[in-house]
Amino acid sequence: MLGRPSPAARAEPELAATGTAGRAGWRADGASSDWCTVRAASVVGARHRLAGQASDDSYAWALTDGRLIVAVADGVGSVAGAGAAAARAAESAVTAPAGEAVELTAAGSATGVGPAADVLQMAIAAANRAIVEGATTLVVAVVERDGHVALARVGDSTAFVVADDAAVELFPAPDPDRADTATAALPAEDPEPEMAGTELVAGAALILVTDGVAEPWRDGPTTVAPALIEGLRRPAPPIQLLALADFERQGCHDDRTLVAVWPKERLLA
Amino acid sequence: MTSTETNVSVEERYSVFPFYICLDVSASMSGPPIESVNQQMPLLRASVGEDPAVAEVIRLGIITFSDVARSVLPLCDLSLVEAVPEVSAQGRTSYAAVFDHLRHVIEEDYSKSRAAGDRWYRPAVIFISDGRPTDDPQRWRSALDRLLDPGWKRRPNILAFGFGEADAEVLTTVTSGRPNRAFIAVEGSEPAKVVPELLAGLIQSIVSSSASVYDGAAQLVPPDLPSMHAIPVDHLD
Repeated sequence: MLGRPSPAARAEPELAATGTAGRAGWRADGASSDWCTVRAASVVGARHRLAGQASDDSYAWALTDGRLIVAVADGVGSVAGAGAAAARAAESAVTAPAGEAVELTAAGSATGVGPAADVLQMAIAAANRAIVEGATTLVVAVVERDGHVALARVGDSTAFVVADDAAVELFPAPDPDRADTATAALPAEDPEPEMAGTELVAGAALILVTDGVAEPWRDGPTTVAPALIEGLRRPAPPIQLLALADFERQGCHDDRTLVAVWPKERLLA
Repeated sequence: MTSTETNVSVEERYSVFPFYICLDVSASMSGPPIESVNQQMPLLRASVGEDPAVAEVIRLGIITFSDVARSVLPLCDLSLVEAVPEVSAQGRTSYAAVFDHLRHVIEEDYSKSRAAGDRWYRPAVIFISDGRPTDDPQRWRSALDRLLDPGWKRRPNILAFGFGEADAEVLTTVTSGRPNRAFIAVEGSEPAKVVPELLAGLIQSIVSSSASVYDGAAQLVPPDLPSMHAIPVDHLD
């Protein structure tokens, strides 16, 4: 267990009247294709866990035609139906464009997003339509076999690249002077996603995260950040990554989700 | 790094906000007032100890005073407390005893807490009395001066609440002469009604104060009373 133990956060929750696998507080997954390896870890936050509630985070991926589309979503807790909104948004964001014949090339543009922008716009639009109730943030990445990555997000879920014992956030970090600004979310009448792009160099990993991971990652440069970077340098067993995501830190009680992608060729290069 | 169980880094030092509730349990509190206290205290444990966001910040101690002062609940993380002990009323009202006790326990608690890796916000004392001090004025005023000595780094902020026979001027003295940190219930108010309202206000005060720590501008947020305003709180180191 990473971090200084918090007795309150570790209190045994009341057993809920009903429970299902879909409401599990700790979820881990991981597998590889011929060209990429994926790991996912999602931990229900202490606040939800102690209240007997499920996580409002979700994730999804779709593998098709030489590219991987990955999404991470964080339901806006102040709006009813947050968890369902996140689940629908993440799933729709990866399945809608995966079913379309969209030509992608590795060519970049000035924004680094390149032709994948169409796929990302399609993903955001599909997520926006899919939300029946509630609201959610969403970050989507299109990862190509050659290591080219294009991303879009609405809200404060974000992405990092881990390489060479360091992590670089691919979207601007929140402005501390604008802490009271409402987080952008879906559904929106006319979503305006932020776009980003990168090339994964040899040994690099792409990590999509909700703010429950991103905030302590940024605020913990000598604790959470180095532990996550060390744990994400190579694809660890999913259960190990899950335990790492279940760190303790004062004031960090939000749901936490991360999905990591390593292009295999790059990993072996 | 995969484990820091035995290595509390500077960054992982918890910032804690100590609250000392100083409760007058002199004989005049017998009956409904003290019964009311014993009914309300479990709510304090539930509100503070069961919310990790609050419990990770707030450290709470309960001190009773009459002829003597006692720490009936030493300063602690309320999430580790099974039950708040019940209190009983007896004796007279020695303010000197509680001020001397506070000076001693704050210093001792600070040393222990710091050794455990905590950073302290300036402690808060919630002083609740239903009567005037029965000890020599010179003595309790000297004890108060020691507690509030500007040269003592751990000196607390005090909020004082009175009812029954409590004296507004005395309570203002207890709060370093700041009338906006003292509140006295309307004359003739029934203590059995005042105490639950007061303790409910204190619970809200503690919860709001812990939230202010996460907002980056720690404050001692008083109960919602027209005369009282939030007090900015500094780190002691």
